[in-house]
Amino acid sequence: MERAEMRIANELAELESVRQWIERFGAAHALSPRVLTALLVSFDEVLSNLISYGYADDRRHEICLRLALAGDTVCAEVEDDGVPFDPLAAPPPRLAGGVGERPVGGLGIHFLRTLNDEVTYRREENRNRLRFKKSVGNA
Amino acid sequence: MEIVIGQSHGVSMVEPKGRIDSVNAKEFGDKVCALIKSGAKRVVIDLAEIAYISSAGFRALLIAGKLAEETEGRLALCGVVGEVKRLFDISAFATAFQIYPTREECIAKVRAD
Repeated sequence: MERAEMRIANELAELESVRQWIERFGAAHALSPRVLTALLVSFDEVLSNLISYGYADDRRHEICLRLALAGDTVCAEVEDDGVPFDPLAAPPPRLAGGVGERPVGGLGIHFLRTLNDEVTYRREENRNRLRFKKSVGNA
Repeated sequence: MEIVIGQSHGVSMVEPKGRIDSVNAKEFGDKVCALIKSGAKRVVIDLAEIAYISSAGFRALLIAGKLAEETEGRLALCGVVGEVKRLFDISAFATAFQIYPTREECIAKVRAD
């Protein structure tokens, strides 16, 4: 099993280095574009939401990111000490309609759920642990 | 992200390269909206050089699309292939926007109206 871990501050400016970290992991394990896209989009959705809305104060917080390849499954995890937030409890977005009628937003969680094979959320010891998994074999 | 903005047969061409995510979606959206506000009535966004678009990017596209409708302009997309196509399908934006398979067809359709 191959593991990678990264710790970032709750600042949007960190997202560029997160992207590079994911791309290095993808290159090291020859992940397909489909799996790599799922990881890049999922982390972008989870982290941009967490950093923008996930804290009740203005202080600096640490967010821990993990990636692991176990057999033919990529396992990703985001652990943070933000306010409790279960993305799986959010209602599905309204996807129908043309450009004029479509609401702006609500898509991020839909991407997270759809692009991954499995998404789990736990609140443990005042920390959020969001895990998402995707098989590398079904590309 | 690099964004090339040009003209082809009287149509404003927007060609972003790289990805459209929460880091750069606002910059991308602001550029397209500025183009429309400056009077561009026929706009084509060619996504052929884009690897993926996150929800922030779709939000920017949607805002630009709404602005084009409000100003009675035309905005259409091409180069929607591979992972970008999959994300358009998942988000159901494949049916919300006018998307054409080739750049030439896209330009022709936008000019026709």
